[in-house]
Amino acid sequence: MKEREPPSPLQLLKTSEPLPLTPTAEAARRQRVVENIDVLRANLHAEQQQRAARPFALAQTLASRSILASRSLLASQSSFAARGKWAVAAALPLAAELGVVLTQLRQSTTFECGRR
Amino acid sequence: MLIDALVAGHPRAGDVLYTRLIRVIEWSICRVLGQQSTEREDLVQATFEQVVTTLYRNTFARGCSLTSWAAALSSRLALTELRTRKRQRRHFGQPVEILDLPIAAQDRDAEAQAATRQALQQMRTALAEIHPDNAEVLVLRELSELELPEIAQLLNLSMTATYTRLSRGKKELAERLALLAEDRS
Repeated sequence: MKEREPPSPLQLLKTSEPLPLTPTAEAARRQRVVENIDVLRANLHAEQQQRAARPFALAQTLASRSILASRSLLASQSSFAARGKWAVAAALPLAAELGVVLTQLRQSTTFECGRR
Repeated sequence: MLIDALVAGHPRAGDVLYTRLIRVIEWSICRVLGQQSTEREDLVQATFEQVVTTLYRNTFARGCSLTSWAAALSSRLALTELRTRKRQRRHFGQPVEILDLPIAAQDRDAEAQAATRQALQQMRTALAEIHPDNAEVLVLRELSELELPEIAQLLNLSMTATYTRLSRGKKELAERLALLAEDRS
């Protein structure tokens, strides 16, 4: 024998019925809701069209971005090369100066040792 | 047919949609929140907006009926509102609960009416306290009287998950009601 399920306590809530609106209030609500639905539909339709056009726009954006990216890469490479040149140009006289100083220092040390 | 007309931009589709769904939306909101809910009109409007938006964005499960979809959306909104009311009452102490009375109980004596009001209030408090996922399935099954396979389809759940949520919801509700009755006594 199948056991009977006890009634749900939520059955009490089912006794709540919406209070009917007056015909005027109902007509006003219908008009307001339908107007809002129509506005929303227009917005969503525009959004859909925008979304449909998006792949083309995206492709264009990506293409322009790739051009920009390659340009900026070239620019950074050339600026790096220019900076390298300046660094070498500045370092060479310094290195030469350092070489002269070191040679002189070594000579004077040798002389001092020989005198002793 | 109506869905296609609506998405295609048919001028009378909004009006037809209102006629088709207003009853089920109103009943779902009323059963969760009560007859004299001040948010009734806002929730009706919000449900219609969600129905239209989901139809346009293809997030509506076409396997189920439009009325069931509307019932699911309005129940979810009503449950969210119920939980918001409860939070407001807890944090700000606002007397936002409107004690309505079912039409069937209106011809009873004052004592019986008071008891019915209190039972309704307790039921709504308990419903606001249980887990939202379980409450949703419980309301769709017990108040909107939808079948489990349809609820599973509406909420994009497996049958097992739907049944589990329903059982847990019933258990939680019974526990909450027992606690509330204990507090009262």
